[in-house]
Amino acid sequence: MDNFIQIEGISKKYDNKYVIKDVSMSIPSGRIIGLLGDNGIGKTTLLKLLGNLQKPDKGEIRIDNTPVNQMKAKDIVYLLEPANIYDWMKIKEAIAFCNDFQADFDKEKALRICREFGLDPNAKITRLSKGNKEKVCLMLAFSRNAKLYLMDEPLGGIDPTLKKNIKKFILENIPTDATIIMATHLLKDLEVLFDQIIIITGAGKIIYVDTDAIRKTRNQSIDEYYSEVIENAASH
Amino acid sequence: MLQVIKWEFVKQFHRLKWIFLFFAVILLFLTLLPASWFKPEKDGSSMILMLFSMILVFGTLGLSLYPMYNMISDFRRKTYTMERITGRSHIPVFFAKIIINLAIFFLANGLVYVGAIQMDKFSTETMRYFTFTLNKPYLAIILEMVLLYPAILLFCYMSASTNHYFRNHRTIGTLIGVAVVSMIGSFLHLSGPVYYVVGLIIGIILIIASGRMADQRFEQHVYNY
Repeated sequence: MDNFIQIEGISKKYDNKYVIKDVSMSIPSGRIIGLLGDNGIGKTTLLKLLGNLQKPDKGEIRIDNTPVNQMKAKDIVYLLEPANIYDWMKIKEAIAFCNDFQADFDKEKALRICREFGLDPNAKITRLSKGNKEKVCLMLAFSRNAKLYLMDEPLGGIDPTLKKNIKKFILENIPTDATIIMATHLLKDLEVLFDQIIIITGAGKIIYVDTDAIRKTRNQSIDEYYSEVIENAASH
Repeated sequence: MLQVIKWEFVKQFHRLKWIFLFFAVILLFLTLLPASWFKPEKDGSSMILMLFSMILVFGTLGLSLYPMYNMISDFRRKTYTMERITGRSHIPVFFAKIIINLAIFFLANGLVYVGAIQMDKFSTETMRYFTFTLNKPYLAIILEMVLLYPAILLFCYMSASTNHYFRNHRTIGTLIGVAVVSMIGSFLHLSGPVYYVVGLIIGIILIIASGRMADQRFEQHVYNY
C-alpha cells in the first residue's frame, strides 16, 4: 500500500515549545525506515505519536486508513525499553504476559528467538546484562506478527555479531508487508538496513528520502548524507 | 477478564510480598512471646512493645491507603508502556484492581486484628499498646476503602492528567480534585442502605469514566523528546 501511514499536519509541544510542528508525510508499507536526528529533536515523540502513546495537539495520524487512536494495539508493535519491564519478571513471565494479552504473539517463536539469542527463559530480566535486556525487548517485539514495528534505539548494547546479522534476523521474523520505523544513532552499523530515512533537524523540519537515491544519485553513504544535512541545518 | 485479574494478582503479590512477610514475622514473634516477658519496671521491654505498636500503626495506615495507590500505579512512567502494549482497555483493569483491593483489605485487616489481639496480652491497667476499633459499620469501611475512595482518587488523577493546565502538575490537580469532592461529600448526609447503594453506583460510574479518560486521552507526559 502506498500510503500505509498518513501523517497530516501534526504538531506536538511541551511547555509551549514545539517539538513537532505541522508535519505531514505518507509512508508506504513494507519498508524499513531509519529515524535520525540529534538527541532531543523529537524522534521519540514521533514514535510515541505513531504508537498512540502520545496524542498530537493538532493534526491526525492514520495507519492503514484508520485513525491511530482507534487502532487496536495488536496492529502496532512498540519496542519496550528494558526499564519498562517489571522488575520482578523473569523472561518466561514477560513472554506469558505478552502471550496472554497480545492476540498476534507467538509463544513458540519467542522461545525459538530466546534460544537463538542464548537467553535462558528462567533468568530474571533485571539480572541480565544491558545487551541481553535489549535482546529480551527485541524478542518480545519480533514474536508478534503486526503491520507496524516502532523501535526507539533498539540496538545500543547489542553485541557486534547480532548487529552484523540484524537485517537477516529482522527479515526472517516480520511479515513481508510490515513496516519498521527505527530511531537510531548507530548509522554506520545499520545503514544497510534502511530502505528510507527520516531526518529531523528541528520542529517542523523533516527530510524523508530513499536511501537508494542517496547512494546512486548523490554517490554518498547514508552516514555522509546525514552529517551533511545536520551541518547545513546547524549553519542556517 | 480472568487473565486481567490473574496478572493484577501477580503484580500485587510481587509488590507486597515482603511487606506481608515482615508483618507475619512480627505477628509470629508477638504470638510466641509470653505475656510474662513484659515487666513494667523494665524500660527496655516497654520500648520494644512501643516499636511493635508503631509498626502496626504505620502498617495499618499504609495498607489502608494502598488501594488508592494501586488504582494509579500503572500510570507510572516506568511501566506505563509495558501496560499499554497489551492493548487492553483500562476499564476491566480498574475493576480487577478493585477485586484485588478487596483481597488486600481483608488480608491486611486479618493481620491487624491478630496484631491487636496479640498486643492486648501485654496491656496493663494504665497502658494499652495497640488497639483496633472501628468507628463505622464494617460494610461502610469496605465500601469506602476498597471502592469509593480509590475511585475518587483515580477519577481526580485522571481528570488532572488529561487536563491541559494540570497535566504537568497532576499531583496538585489531583489534590484539588479530592478536596472539591470531599467538600461536596461533606454536604451529603446519607446513611443506611441509601448510602451503600449511592456509594456503589458513584464508585462504579467514576471507574468507568476514569477508564474512558485513560483509554482515550491519557498520555505519559515525557520530557525525553
